[in-house]
Amino acid sequence: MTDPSTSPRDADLVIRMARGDEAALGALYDRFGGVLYAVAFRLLGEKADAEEVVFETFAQAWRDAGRFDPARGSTAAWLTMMARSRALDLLRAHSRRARITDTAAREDSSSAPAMSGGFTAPGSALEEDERRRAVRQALDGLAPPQRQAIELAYYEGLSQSEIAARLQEPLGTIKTRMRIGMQKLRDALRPYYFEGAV
Amino acid sequence: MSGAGQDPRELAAAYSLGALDPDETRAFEAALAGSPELQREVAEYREVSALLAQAAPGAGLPAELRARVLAQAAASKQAHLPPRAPRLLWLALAASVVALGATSLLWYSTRQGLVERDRAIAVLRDSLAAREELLAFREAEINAILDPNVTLTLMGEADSPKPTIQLFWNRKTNRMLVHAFQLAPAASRRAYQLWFIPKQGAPIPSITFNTEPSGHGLVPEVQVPAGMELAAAAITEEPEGGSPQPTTPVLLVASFAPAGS
Repeated sequence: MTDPSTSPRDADLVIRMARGDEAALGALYDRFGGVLYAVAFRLLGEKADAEEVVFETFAQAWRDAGRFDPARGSTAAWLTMMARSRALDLLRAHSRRARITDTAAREDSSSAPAMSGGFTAPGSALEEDERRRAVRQALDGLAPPQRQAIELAYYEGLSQSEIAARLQEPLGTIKTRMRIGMQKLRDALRPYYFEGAV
Repeated sequence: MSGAGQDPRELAAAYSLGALDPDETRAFEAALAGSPELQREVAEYREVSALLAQAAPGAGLPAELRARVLAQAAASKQAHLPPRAPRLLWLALAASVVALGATSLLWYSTRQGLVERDRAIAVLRDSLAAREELLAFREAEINAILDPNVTLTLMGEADSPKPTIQLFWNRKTNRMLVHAFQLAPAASRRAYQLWFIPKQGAPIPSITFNTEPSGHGLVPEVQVPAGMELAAAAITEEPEGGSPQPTTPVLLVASFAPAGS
């Protein structure tokens, strides 16, 4: 576990990357690589695809480090957005949705997913555990239909229209569930945002 | 969809999850570009999205991936370094006893390196110019939509998988941006034709267009007939070159709201 007193901030690592510091890229990878891979693998269901997403995400982070603006959000949010965008593009391009959906349908969608190792961001183990617990509690605190709509979008890459079709619910209902669910998550998780968050 | 009256702020959460349909995404991004409030909203939902990653089921990160990421970074850094003069050249110059043939070979090698670098720069310049052109086109599109004189008329139903066309009409400049989606491409040697229907008189033929295989189509600058009150617009399928009057049944139609309403 990293000692916060000696560990550089996420945003500082990105600044160093912009100057061509490969060690900073390695440190950023060590902090975020695992959880980005977990998200990509959950979306794509293929190790090779998830690996490609993580590789491309860090390649883009390396190229675009000079354009990263810490005032617009945390490094974690920046990397997560890039990784999810790439994974969703790949998912849609390969038309694998049917297979992924079938796989997911065999699982019990009401059960909470197993927790990943999480971002190994600087901070004490206690802080990281607290953050993971907060995310789990916030998800558990949602009404099941709200949580289901968000999980289908986040972990399976379905659009609101696709969720409505899959659940055979009106589109407007799905939109409302997702919006209210995300508002609740935002309110519950605001104290746990990563460093540099808006 | 947001263009049909939904508050874009209500779509910020779904946008941050990547859960909007393509046409909704385009409309939302057009609103996002000009709204700092919306940008803050999206930024905050992206923080939530980053936290949700914590709940992804654990998966073993391949050990060799780290080395691959770092090797790629090192390679790209090397590619951006200025070309170094061959070491032998410096030795040759220092010794001042190099044979003319060897010097010529080194000169040729260095020149070849410069030629290759110039080629690479030319390719990058072309790519940059193409991106700038695309960006300018996108900006023009966004400006055309966001202009306060623009009114939106929808042909088809919002939130429907059926063909839909948005007409962004700038009544001040009498120009219209036509945006079609979920509209299958017309048959071979056929095209879609837009008609303006005045309060009185026959339909006035306008542009012909076609859509991409994705069902998406965009015509940015359509001249709207001036000097008359228009009641509606319609779409028919016609021969590729268009028709002076409709020859097939109307596929889509929409009435225009009276000016100033």
